[in-house]
Amino acid sequence: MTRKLVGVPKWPLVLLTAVYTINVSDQFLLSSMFPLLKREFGLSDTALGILSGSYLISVTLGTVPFGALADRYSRTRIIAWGTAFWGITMIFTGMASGFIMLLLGRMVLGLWDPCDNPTSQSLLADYYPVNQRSKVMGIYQMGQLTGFFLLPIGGLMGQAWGWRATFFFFALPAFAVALLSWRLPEPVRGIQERRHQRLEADERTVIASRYQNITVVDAYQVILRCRSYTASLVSSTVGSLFFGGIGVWTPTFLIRYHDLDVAEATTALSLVAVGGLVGVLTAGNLADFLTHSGYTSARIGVAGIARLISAPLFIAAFLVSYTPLMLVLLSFGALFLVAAIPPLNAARVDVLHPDLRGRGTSLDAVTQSLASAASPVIYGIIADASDLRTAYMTLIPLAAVAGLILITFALASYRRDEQAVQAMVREEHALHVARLAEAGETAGRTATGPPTASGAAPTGESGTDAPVAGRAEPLLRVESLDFSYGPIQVLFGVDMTLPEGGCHALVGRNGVGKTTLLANVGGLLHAQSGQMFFRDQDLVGIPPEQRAKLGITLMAAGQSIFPSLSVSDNLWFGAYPFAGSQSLVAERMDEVLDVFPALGRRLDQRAGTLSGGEQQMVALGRALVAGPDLLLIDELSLGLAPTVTVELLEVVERISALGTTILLVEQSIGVALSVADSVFFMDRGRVSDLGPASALDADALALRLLESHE
Amino acid sequence: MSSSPDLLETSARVAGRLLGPWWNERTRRVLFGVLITAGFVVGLVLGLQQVYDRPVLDVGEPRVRVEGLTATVQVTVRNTSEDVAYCPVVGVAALDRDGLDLAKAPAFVDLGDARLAPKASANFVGVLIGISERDFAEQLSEYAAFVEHENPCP
Repeated sequence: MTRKLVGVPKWPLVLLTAVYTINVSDQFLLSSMFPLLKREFGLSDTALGILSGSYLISVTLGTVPFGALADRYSRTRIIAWGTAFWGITMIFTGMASGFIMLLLGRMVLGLWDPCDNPTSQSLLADYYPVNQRSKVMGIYQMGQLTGFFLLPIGGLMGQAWGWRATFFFFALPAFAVALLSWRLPEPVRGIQERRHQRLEADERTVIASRYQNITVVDAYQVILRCRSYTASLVSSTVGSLFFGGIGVWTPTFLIRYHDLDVAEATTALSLVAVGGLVGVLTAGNLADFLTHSGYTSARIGVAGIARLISAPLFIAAFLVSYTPLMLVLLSFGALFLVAAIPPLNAARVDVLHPDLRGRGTSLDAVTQSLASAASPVIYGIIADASDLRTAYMTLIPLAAVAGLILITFALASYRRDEQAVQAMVREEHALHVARLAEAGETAGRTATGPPTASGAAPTGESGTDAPVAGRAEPLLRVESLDFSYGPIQVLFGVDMTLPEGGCHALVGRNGVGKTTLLANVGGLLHAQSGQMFFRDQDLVGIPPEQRAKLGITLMAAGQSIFPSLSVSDNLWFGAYPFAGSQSLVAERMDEVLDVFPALGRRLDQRAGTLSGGEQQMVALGRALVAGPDLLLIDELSLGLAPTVTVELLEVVERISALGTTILLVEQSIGVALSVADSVFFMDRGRVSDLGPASALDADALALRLLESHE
Repeated sequence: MSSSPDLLETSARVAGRLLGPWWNERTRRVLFGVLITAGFVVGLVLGLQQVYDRPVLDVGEPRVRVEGLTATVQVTVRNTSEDVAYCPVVGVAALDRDGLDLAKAPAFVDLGDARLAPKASANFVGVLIGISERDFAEQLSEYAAFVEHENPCP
């Protein structure tokens, strides 16, 4: 399993989890303030019930509009404004002078509460890579459980300083996270799907989608036509009918059947939360790991199996009479029950078009909320008719039913639905490219830059497409990188900034650390200190296969092919980032064969029987299949005849013209200057930027090379 | 449906027209800044005020004696005022896990009269009846005592 998240910096996830915690915290806060409110306002139990009920109604009513807003407007701003008004409403509630003000405060608070959940899930899907969504959703889900653990803190504050102070102080963090949310970058919807398919190098191009302007009815029709989504919706709703009542009835069960007192029973219930915490953290990682290992529907599979496993554990828990065993079983039951949430949330956004995720998530939240509200009542009715244990035994099988729905209906259609979304994103991208080309022809002007690796023009405006900034920002930043092979230090505080686009040469004598630096960037070696950022993403700790998915491909020096495999098989290896999507792999292969037409005639030939130059072409082709944004080439000309080298350099220029940034390590000054736009010089483990290649004198550079390291 | 995207779009356009040209990114940023700064400052000040502004009648922890299905709750109420005497109305209650009343009763001064002179304290006692055996076992979470009316003495 990967140790670190691969994506934009971690703070958006931390911040959105904090927003979730804050918004959840007030759900539990009011009930802990009931005795104090009664004392101050002389409220009846009915009035307190109205306060709770009105809040739940408001939350349910607010969820759907916020889902629609999340699909239309800036999600970071929705969260920022929503959380700020949430804080204001908390203060207003704390200032209440009577029941009506309290009621108004709770109702308005309920309307702001859902500003974050559908919005955050949609945002997270665009912040973090497709292949790490479950893990991200798991961490985000911790926000709910952390909010639950804030309850005793609220209770203590209420006892010490009064209920008003509690509301005032709970409001304060909301303003801090609102401010930070305002500063969050708003990612382009569907950007991770584009990255996943290597569709575009530029991150800020907004591409028109067929769902941007549809009515809400049409949107929900589209959402509900997605079978795996509908199956997950039904599964969650059915499951909620069971677990919605656990929190309410389990303390009573522990008192009736295990002779615990009320305080002990309430404390024991926190085991459920602890089990849940473990569940959300492990299941997210597991689902991503399995997906990564080739089980393409693992998210649905893990969620379904987790729900299935939870059922017998709960049955056993509510049948055994030995209390410690019951609590252990209960914790594990909760672990598996909650474990289903992160992979299921990830799967839900996988199968929904990026412009429908807010509405899809909000619909799920509403149905779960209604089912959870009905659940305690159903428990009560069954318990009154027979007994509480019978109520549990009747409702626990619903968890298994929820699991079965997932591993039958959802599992069968998930892959198809997910690929349909990927295909839609691809189609929209192709349409965008075509429109750009058309607009370029109409205007009689050439494109503003080279097309991307997938053939897309990198910048431009068209229709609803937003303007795109240039490529001035660095693609790769290396800062103070130190690396040693045992006691022998090779890299000494390397600093290097590589701009996006173009071909850049790294020259230096043999043994100065060029290959070591490339291996560090590619993830094959791990520096002892220093940092590396790829598009502001911290690369430290990210394994090489994840770096390949990020868009970094390393072509090692020497014979870097599989000689016993055919040319075709060698190229297929490069399609690793697209494993699981045959059509996408075929598309990438076709594009690469356009660049290397000679390889197209030798696809079935064993790569080892090719000439040295052709083998390098295979290696380059394999690297290009991955659709890299940064191609690291180590010693392209090593051992090749000059005429062959010239041919290869032409290919390198073509790849560079397609929008891939190239860092070429070379000992040959002539080779480096003939192809590179800029040159870096390496000596004794340090790198210096020599600037544009056109401004350099080859003889002077050769002399410097000879004089270095002496 | 009220959340129709068309309706949202129309609402946004109408709001934009009503608000006029001054409603731009700069004003939004300023407004947001004012909102969160004011919110934070007001929340902090009001919170601190609550921390330091304690009620004049300090209610102690309730002490409970249960006999059968009857709970007798005793609580000490102290008048922290320097110069005002209070004749408070005090109540006690048994609360369930959700903080709702299982039983509630007025509490009366144990010895002497209900007049609390400045800096004086008195014990109030209330008797809670009517709690069922099941509620005692399953629902009863805590006992609470509270001042219903501070009621300065004439």
